[in-house]
Amino acid sequence: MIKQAALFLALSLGCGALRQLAPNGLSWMGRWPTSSTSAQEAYTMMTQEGDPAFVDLATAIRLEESKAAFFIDARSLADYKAGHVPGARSLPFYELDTTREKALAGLPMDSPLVLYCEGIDCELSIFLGRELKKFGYTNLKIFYGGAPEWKNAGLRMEK
Amino acid sequence: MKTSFSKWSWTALRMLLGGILLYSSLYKIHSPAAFAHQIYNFKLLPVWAINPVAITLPWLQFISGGALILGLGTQGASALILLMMLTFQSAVASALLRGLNISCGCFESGGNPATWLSFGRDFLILLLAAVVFLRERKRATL
Repeated sequence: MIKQAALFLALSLGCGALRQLAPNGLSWMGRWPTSSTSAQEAYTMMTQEGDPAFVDLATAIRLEESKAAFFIDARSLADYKAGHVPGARSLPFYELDTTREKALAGLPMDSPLVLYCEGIDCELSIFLGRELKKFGYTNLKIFYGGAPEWKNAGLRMEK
Repeated sequence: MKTSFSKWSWTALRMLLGGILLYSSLYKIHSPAAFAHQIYNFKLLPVWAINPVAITLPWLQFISGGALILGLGTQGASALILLMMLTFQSAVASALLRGLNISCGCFESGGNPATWLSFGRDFLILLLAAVVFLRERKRATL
């Protein structure tokens, strides 16, 4: 039994190595965010060509203070209620179909939207950006540091 | 007659399990990056281990599933499948308990989140794997 299993494992390694040579093969060494990765680095690792641009904390603060953009919270409604960027609207990614119209009511397609989520452990802002782009929104940005970065900077969270 | 019928139903169960494993390996072999992303989302493995697992595991599924269908090395194959299912179910349970939003990120929409419902469905596959494994072990000692 052990011999058979070992043989299958060796075969799998071999096939995997060969698969690397074919189109869209994956490198053995991956680049994934850890707790020490900065928001901008993590954003670069997790996004692809055509995704909304990155916004850092300083820019997010400026946009919020000057009311130059609408903040969109991609987390669950419960997380949103527990504390969000002041003035942000709730648009939970997993409830996109049922909440989109209400959440984005009155916003033209070219409104500046800043999407955020639960920091570098959460990609829902990226997924939301891809979906909103499909719906036709043209001015999307991602504040990838998200709610934790906002809170840790000592900024006011609205409840 | 009776023995021959039960022999056939065991073969059918074994092939069903092999088929499930084989089928579920296909998209992972086709899109290793998406599968690696899925593994990353569980936040269980150290980052250096993510890609090697994403490269090897789908083939292990493919080969052991194929072995069950063909009836070759069924003991080793069923043991590996049981081990993979146990690992997978533990990972999903731990993610659900930690309250992680496990979305695979494999499709543009982020895919469906793992839930206790999908956990229950996969538990049936785990049971099937356990039954087939025990049968293959017993057969070997007869």
